[in-house]
Amino acid sequence: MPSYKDMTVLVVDDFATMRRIIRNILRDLEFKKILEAEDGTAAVDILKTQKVDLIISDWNMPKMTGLELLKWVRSNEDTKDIPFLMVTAEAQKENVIEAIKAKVSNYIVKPFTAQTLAEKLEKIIPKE
Amino acid sequence: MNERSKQELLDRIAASVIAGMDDLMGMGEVLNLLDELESCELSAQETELVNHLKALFKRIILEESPDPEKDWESIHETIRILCDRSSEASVVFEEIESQPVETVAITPPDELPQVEPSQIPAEPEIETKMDAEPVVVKETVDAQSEASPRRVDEEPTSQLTVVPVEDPELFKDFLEEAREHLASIELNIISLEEDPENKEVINAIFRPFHSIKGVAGFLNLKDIQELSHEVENLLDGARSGNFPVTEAIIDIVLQAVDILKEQLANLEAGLAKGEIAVQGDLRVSKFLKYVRNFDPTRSVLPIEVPKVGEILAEKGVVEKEKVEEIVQEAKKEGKRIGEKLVEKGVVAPKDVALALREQKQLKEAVTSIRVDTHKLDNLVDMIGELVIAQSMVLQNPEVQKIKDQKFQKDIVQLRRITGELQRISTSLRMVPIKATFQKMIRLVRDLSRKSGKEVVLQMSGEDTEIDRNMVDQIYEPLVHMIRNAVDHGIETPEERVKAGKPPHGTIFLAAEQKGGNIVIDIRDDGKGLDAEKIRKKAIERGLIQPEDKLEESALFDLIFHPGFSTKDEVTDVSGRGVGMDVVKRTVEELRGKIEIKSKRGEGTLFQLKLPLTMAIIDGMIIKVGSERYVVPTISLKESLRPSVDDCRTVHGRGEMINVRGKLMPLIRLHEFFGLEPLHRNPWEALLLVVSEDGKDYCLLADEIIGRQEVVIKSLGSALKHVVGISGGAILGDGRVALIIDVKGIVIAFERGIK
Repeated sequence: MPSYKDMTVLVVDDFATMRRIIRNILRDLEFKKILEAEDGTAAVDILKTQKVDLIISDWNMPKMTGLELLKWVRSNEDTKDIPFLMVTAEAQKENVIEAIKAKVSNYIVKPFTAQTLAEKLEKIIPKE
Repeated sequence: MNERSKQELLDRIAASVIAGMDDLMGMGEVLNLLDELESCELSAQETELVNHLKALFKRIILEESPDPEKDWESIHETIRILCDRSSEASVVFEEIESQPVETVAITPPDELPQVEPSQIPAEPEIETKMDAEPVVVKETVDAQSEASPRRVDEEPTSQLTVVPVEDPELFKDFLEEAREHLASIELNIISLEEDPENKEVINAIFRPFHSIKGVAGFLNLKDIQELSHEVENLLDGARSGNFPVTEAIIDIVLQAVDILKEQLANLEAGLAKGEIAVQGDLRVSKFLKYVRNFDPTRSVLPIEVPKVGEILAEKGVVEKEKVEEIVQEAKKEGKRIGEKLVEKGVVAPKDVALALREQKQLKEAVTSIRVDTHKLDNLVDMIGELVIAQSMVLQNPEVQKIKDQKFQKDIVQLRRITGELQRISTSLRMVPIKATFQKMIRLVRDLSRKSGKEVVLQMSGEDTEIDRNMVDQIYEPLVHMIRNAVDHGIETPEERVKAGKPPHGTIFLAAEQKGGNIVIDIRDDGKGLDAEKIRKKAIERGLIQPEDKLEESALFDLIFHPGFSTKDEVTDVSGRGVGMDVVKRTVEELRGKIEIKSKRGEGTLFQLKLPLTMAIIDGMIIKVGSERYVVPTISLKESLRPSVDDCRTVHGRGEMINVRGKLMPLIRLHEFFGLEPLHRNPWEALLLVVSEDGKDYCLLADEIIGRQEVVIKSLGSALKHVVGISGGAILGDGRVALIIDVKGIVIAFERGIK
């Protein structure tokens, strides 16, 4: 298991309850540093000033969507290698291919369990 | 692009490394290269290979592959064939369809390898839950099927599934946020109605439903989840331009919002009990059934409106014969003509959409026309005259002598028709107050954000109708009062908690029709008005004298005095107390009244009473001497005849009447109008209790004749400034009566005393 304790994770979702749900799961997975942003632009602001080791972002957000955020992350020298997990809805699986082409690390379909999230993280976080 | 770059691309594809089935980034790289490759000149076989590869990738990525291992091998094999151009090996593929899992397997069935369970990518299926999160309990597996094709024949069940609550905080967060989202949906619906094709607005409505659905999925609130899902689907279709946003769709969205509100309320109530109903609400299942059967491309159109095909033919987009031919085909297949035309490639989807829009415009032209409001006013006036003329005829003594039964019956009929005519003519100018109310949602939100206070807006009676001319005029006063409520009324969350109230304040906005008036309440549950503070301020400003003993209600009314403010600091939200005087003036210009009720620590109520329309007032016909006057019922509190003991003269204050222990000044209307009264003693006459600026007065009149709705007639510019009179009206017998301006009389009376 990679050590989640020292990693900074950024959770991006416009729905605060959703962020809280994800945050709770992450806590159980022993993440300690969890940042939140309510949309892509807020996430970019954080990414410009802080070192982040993992991004978990919703797809559908106002102002700047998850895909736009992903594209920004991947096009920026400092952030391009950050593992990026896209949260999407079952109904919008078609979007996944678009995200894959934009180099998303992996995706997860809502609603998901703690178990599923843990498995996805294991897949995308580089092992030591 | 030339061959060289194609070769380059192929080389890169061949060299690309995909670490494994979890290496989605590696797959993304190859997919991009394949996209690029497609823009080169490709042979039929190459195209086929590329498509095959893409389909394989897609189903591996979407975890829809029946046999990922085999697909994985197939990908490598296909890449090898594609890139190794020397080997012209002929490969035959069966077509892979991306979506359904049960499509043809690529491998021959006999050599299906055994797949180890561990190698199957994790399905987003529900596993046994990890201890802390989420509240997911039973039947969650079904969550997967929510995206499956519409389940039309599902019967509504009334079986409520109730589960215990595990993390109430999370639900509370959800409640609050979901309500906020619903409010924003309602707000955007208005914009959508104005501009049904605005993709951004559709998206702004779509997104909250999507978010609500997402969280409801986690909380296992299946009713909410499914409902949001269906609406989301519908909006998604509209967003992608599959069909236009019709009124029917807007209705569905609004209905969904209503049901969701109800669901949230139930949820809140359930939380208190520690047990919530998550599924099986009958109203939800009915709604779901309706939405799933709803055909968004179909709208009910009257026969006069031309068919889409006809419009297209007329525009020359397609020949008439062709349309007729396709109409037949479409009928046979049960499809829409527009759909069929596009399918046949005869017409571009855009043309169909344009035709649909034109059809809609034509339909609207059939059902409504624009009329100059002046014409409308004239019509209302003339109908008023008609009613009066009718009563003049019927009250003619000669006519009343007629005893013919047929004549009596015809009169009843005539009365019925004119009555109906009057009712309709009034309703022509009425619009629901909803739009004005809904603008307040946004206002409260902005104010709450700016002031750092938590404020919730609750509304009722949005369907109450009000005169079109008045709607615009009450907007500003409403805004002002709501600002005041947020800024001066509602306390900060800390103060509220200290006072034992919930941290969020509530503003209630309610409209109601009462008799011939509209009553609008603006109520907050804030700290209430501080009568003592108002008193001090008023003395400071010289509005009252320190020795003046004013009742609380009279003190409250001081806030309507120009330039009055009790707030020590000036805030960005409501500025310096200026404005309540303007509010009052505006309301009075509309022939309305405003009243304040307030209780320390509990809140304040501003009550606006407005006449239904500007053209008619609900009036009490009274007699003073030989003259008749109309007193607007909006100004009247009660009428009474006092006993001799109740009438007294107070030194320096003139005649006073004791009404249940409260002394009120007596205003003799006959003196005011210079008439010879029937009765000089109040205990023989009649008193009308009116209230102005928080003070009550008794108007002395001789008798009340009756209550009647009268059409207001302007007295013309020459008589515009006569004190105590606001207009004229023609009564049933054709005689003119003057409408009393109670405020004017009270002001003149007060001046006379001073």
